[in-house]
Formats: sequence, C-alpha cells, structure tokens
Amino acid sequence: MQAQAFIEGGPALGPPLPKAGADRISRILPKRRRGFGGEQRTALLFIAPFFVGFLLFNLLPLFYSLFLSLVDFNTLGEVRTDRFMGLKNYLRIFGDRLALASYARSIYFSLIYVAGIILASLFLALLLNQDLFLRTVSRTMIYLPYVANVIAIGIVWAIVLNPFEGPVNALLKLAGVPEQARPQWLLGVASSLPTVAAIKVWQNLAFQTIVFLAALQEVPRELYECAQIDGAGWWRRLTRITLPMISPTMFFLIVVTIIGSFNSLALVKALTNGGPGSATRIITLFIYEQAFKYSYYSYATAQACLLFLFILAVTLAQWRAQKRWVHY
Amino acid sequence: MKKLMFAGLAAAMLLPIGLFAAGSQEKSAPVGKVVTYFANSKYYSDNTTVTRNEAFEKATGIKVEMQLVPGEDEDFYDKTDIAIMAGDTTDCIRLTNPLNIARYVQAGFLLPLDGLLKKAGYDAEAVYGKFLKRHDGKLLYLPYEQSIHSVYYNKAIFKNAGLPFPKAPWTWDDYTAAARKLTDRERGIYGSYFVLDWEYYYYTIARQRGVSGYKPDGSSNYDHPDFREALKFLNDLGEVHKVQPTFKEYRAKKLGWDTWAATGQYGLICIGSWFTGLLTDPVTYPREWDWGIVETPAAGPKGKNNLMAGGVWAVLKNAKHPEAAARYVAWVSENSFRYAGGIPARVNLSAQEVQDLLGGIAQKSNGSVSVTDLDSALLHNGLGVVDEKISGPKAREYSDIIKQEGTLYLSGEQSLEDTLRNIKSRADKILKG
Repeated sequence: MQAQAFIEGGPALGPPLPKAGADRISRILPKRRRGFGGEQRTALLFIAPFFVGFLLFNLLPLFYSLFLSLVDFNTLGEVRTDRFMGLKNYLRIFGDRLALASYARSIYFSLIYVAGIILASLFLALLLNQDLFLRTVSRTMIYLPYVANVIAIGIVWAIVLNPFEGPVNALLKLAGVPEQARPQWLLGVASSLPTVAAIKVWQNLAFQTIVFLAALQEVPRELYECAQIDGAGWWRRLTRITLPMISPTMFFLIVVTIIGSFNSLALVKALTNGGPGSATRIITLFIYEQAFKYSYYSYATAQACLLFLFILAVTLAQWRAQKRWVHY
Repeated sequence: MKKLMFAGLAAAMLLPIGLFAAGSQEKSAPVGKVVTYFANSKYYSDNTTVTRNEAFEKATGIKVEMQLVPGEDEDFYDKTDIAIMAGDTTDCIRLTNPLNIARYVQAGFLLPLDGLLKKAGYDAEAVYGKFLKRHDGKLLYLPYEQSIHSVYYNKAIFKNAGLPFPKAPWTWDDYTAAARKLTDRERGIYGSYFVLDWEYYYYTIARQRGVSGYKPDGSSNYDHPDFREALKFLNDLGEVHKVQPTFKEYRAKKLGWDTWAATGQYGLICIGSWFTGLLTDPVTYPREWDWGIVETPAAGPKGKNNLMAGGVWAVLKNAKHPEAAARYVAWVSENSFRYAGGIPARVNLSAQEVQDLLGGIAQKSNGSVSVTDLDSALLHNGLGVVDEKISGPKAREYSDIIKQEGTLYLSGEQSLEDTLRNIKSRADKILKG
C-alpha cells in the first residue's frame, strides 16, 4: 500500500510517476524513501554555514592532526611531513616520564575539579531552588565569574592567595594558624594543583548551577508532598526523589565537565604557568610547550591524539555505566 | 523567494572568508616605501620605539609598521615561530636572546644580508667588525648592542645606610656584605635584587669562571661544583642572608625585570648595559633617586669575567620588502643606542664618539653617573668576557630544565643535591636525543 501511495504520488512526493517507471522504482527504493525536495534543500542550506565551519575548523584539523602524529615533523623550520614514522611518536610517550606525569596530573586535576564542581553546583542549585532572600542577586553573583576574563581571574586570585600579604592567609594568621601550617596556595608544590582546580570550580560554577536548577524545577512537587506525607526526611527526599529525577541532567553534566576539565590551559598559564617546578604542568600545557616551545610538533600532536582517545574511552565507559544509575 | 534565500545564505557563508582575506592585506604604502617588523606588546607603544621609528622614517622616507604580537619574551617567540612557518611576510624581527638567535639561524628563518647590504652600499664589516657573526659564511643578522653586565646601585639607599658607594675591584662576598648593610626590612628596603625569572642567574658564578654547560662528550656538565656554588649563592641571598626577596616572595608579589628601576626599594642589581635605557627614560620610569654603576663582582680568582650578550636585528626569509628591511636593520642596529641607551656593538666609533655616547647616557641620567663611571664599569674594567648563557645543543630545553628544577630549590621544595641531580639527568636525556 505504501509503495502504491508512492507510485500514485502522495501530496509530499511530487507529481505521479509513469506506471512502468514507478514499478521499477518501487522495487528498488525503500518503502519510506523521502525525496530531496525543496524543503530538505532549504534545510541543508541553513545548516551549511555551521557545517562548513565545522568541517574547516574542527574535522579537517582533527584528521590533519592524526596525520601529523604519524610523521616526523619535530623541528623548527620548513614544514616537512614526508617522513612517515608510524606509531613511534605514540610509543615515545610511554617512555617519557614527564609526559606520563603530566597525564597523571591532569587526571588528578580532573578528579578534584569534577567532584568539586558537581557537588558545589548541585548544592547551589538546591539553595537557589528555594525561596531565598536576594535570590536574583545571588544568581547574578554566581554567573559573574563565568563571564570574567581568565587573565583578570589569574591576577585577582594571585593577590587574594598571596601567602605573604594576601587576605586569606592574613585571616588564617588572625585565626591563630601558625606560619608553617598556612598553605602556600599557588606557590606550594603540593597545594598549587588543588588550588588551581578550586579556582576553576569557582570560575565555572554558573553553567552547572543553571542546568541543575532547570532540572530541579522540572521535578514534580507532588512527589515531595507525597514523600512528606509519608514521613520522609530531607535526606530521603534528596536521595530517593531529587537525585534520581535529575540523574539524566547529572549524567550530562558529569560527561561534559570531565571533557572540559582536560582543557584548562588558559587558567594554568594565567595562574602558575606550570610551576612551581612542574607541579601544575598538566597535559594540555605540556602539549603546548612540546609544540610551540620545543617545536616537537608531531610528538605533541600524538600526545593530543592520545588524550583524545583517553577522554573518548572515559566517555564511552560512562555511557555504558549510566544504565546503573541514570533514570529516564 | 527561495533563490533569494539561497543567495543570502551563500553571501553569509562567503562574508567571513572575504573579511579574513581583506584583513590580511597590506594596508598602506607601496612596496619599497614600507617596512614591517614583529613588535611585542611592551615595545609596541614604548616611547623610545616610537621616537626611533619616527627618526628612521624622517631619515629614509620609508614608513615603519609594527606587527603587534601579544606577549613578551618566550610567549612572543612562540607566536612568531608559527607565523614565519606559516609564510607570514613580515620583514624584520629583533632577537634579544642568544638562544632564539641560534634557533632562528638553525631553522633557516633569516634572509642572508650580504647581497642586500651591498646593493644598499652598506659596509657592515666597517661598522660592526668583530661583533659580526657569520653562519656558513653568510651574514644573517646585525648586532645592535653589546649587553655588558655591571652592578647598578641606588645612591639614596646607600646614603641612608651611611655606606660608601661600592668600588671595583670587588667580589660577590663584598656584594653580599654591602647588601646586608643596606637591607632594612622595616622600611621595605632590600640590599640586593636579582631577576629570579631568568635562569642564567642560577649559574652566573659558574659562567664567570668559564665553566661550560656541556662536557666534551656532549652530556650535561651540571655536576660541576661551580654550578652548585652558583645556585646556592643565589638562594642564600634570599633565604640565609635575607638581603633580597625570596623566590616565593618574588612570585607572590609579581616582581619583574624592571622592578628595581620602577620602585627604588632595592639597593643593588647586576644586569646588562641595556638597563641604562630604563634609567634614562624619565617618562616610563620616573624616579627621584640617583643611581650609580660599578663593574660586576668577580667570582674568585678564576672568575674575573664579565657576562656578555647581545641583541640583533634580522630580515626574515619571507620578507615582503627585503630591500627596505635591510635598510631598516642596518639603520636601527647602528643607531638603536641613541634612543634606547645601552652600548652599541660597533667598531667604527672613535674614542670621542664613545666618550660622547657615554656622555649622552651621563647627561640623560641627570648627574647620577659620570662618563668616567660608565667607562670604568662597562668598557675599561679589569674583566674578561664570557657569554652569559649556556648555549649549545637543545639550549632552550636545557634552560627550561634548569629553571624548573632551580625554582623548586629556590622555593624550598627540593634539596640542592636533588636539584642538581635532576638537572643533570633530565638534561642528559634530552641531549642524548
């Protein structure tokens, strides 16, 4: 019947075909074939600008990077990509103690940052979901760091966290904390990376908070009312109603936050430039230096591709694990 | 209607491409009457740079256009590296660090100057003589300064401390003793200042004694005891003698290479002769105190050497206006000192011209220093000359390793022995290839 409708030419499929041709077509084409008509062409034209940009500035560079990682372009000078090296650049990574340490630092940074921002933004969203005094002002204040310039953030936090003259350590001093116990923040080898992660949490709270807030507002109030009637306390309401109901949103945020956590080059450059020593030399900064300071372009590209594969693997693992805790 | 929409969409897609192409076009004077060069953000609007370029334009009729590259020091060169490799047609570049000069020579980024200068009737040998360096017989750049280290001192701090001004010959022990007497923490005065971001200060004493960063077999020489002594000396100034900011203070307060000239809170600084440019620029560095100059302290009987470096100007290989560029490079190398201070790398200055040069600095110093002071500190001192930096294979990575490990020691996060061992092992690894 569908083939007949196609042959007879429904209103969306153009004029009716001659019967013999229509018979041939109905044997060849799938039953629900859509034609490449005027509307489809217009739709394609509308998405073409984005697609062209995506092709030129995302996809092609991605494939070119893959190609670069397989050749020997590791010197400053003429761009030479004629010496094929296969996987040697990748194998070199596994023998490079400094590269592996940078990957490890990035993972450590990611763990602190993701946990911190998810918990903090959820907490803020839960607060903002209440009828609080100055709620609008609070929302604006949370959003301000998100739109601030990263260099300005670096300068301000360097002043605030100055271990000698900054207000934070001055308050700790007033509180009686001895000098040896006061953190060195951005200047300490052990404290610098967690400090940078905490500043990044502060900077990016707005996005996660807004998304969580939107999800919280979609949770039906009746569920809470029923739970209250049944005598459920706030913890049970949180764990048995709120979290399951917003789990799809939480899953989305965890995935994008993990991906974003590996891209902190600007903030690290502004705050510590990888120091003290190499304490905050995360993999993106290491890749940047390998490429643009030491001209190991192919080696740096291989590291970037490996990072991409690692993030992809983590994302896929999360995708598979979502069945256990995400409720749609 | 659909055709109109299609045309509109096509125009929207092509517009950014068109704008991009238009933005990258040369925007001013015809070929031969303009020269371009990469300028970092600090020098883009610097008073002396503007004055110098105006003087060149007046003298030659060739317009100077700076191509702003955001960032300073290594951030600047990170970007120019890529621009040049991508075929950028900017004409000239100033290379201030011997490591970058070596990199650009090795990368083939510099246009040989011999033919261009000959065409312009310019005899570089007569002007620069022994300061010219050739690579495979080719002249690739012209030196615009010889940066000779000396110690500059704040006379007001010395007077307040009741101390006589330092006199040569002297040693680093004398320097430390003077710095101790000058330091007054309650008034925020430190007796000494070193630019702790610059890793060559981590091995100054070793370089003064002529110790190379490389062993004859090409491996790192950082297990030489003089490197240990040099790094410990720098650390002890802040942590033991407390005569200068510790490394953590330096970083926390965001101190920099021009802090000594800008603040007047520090007694002594050992730095290159280009520093006279800051001290004679009342617009950018206004000050109410006088300064003095004395030769670099010796690092013991075997360390009676001064540290030397030098900046150069070069024409880039993709230069759009190579002839105008060669003229600019020649003019600015010869005349830079008249605007930015410092000591030119020229052999054709007569004794009178040298005296006039020093007299110019003395005059601009508003009586802080005399011609005799400058001559005995910079030119006619009792010291030999060594390169200030370790330069050789993988020099940039080697320097970064020294800086990364050295800053851990200076921060108190790592012992001196571990620092030296790490530098040696990491440097050996990269030198092995």
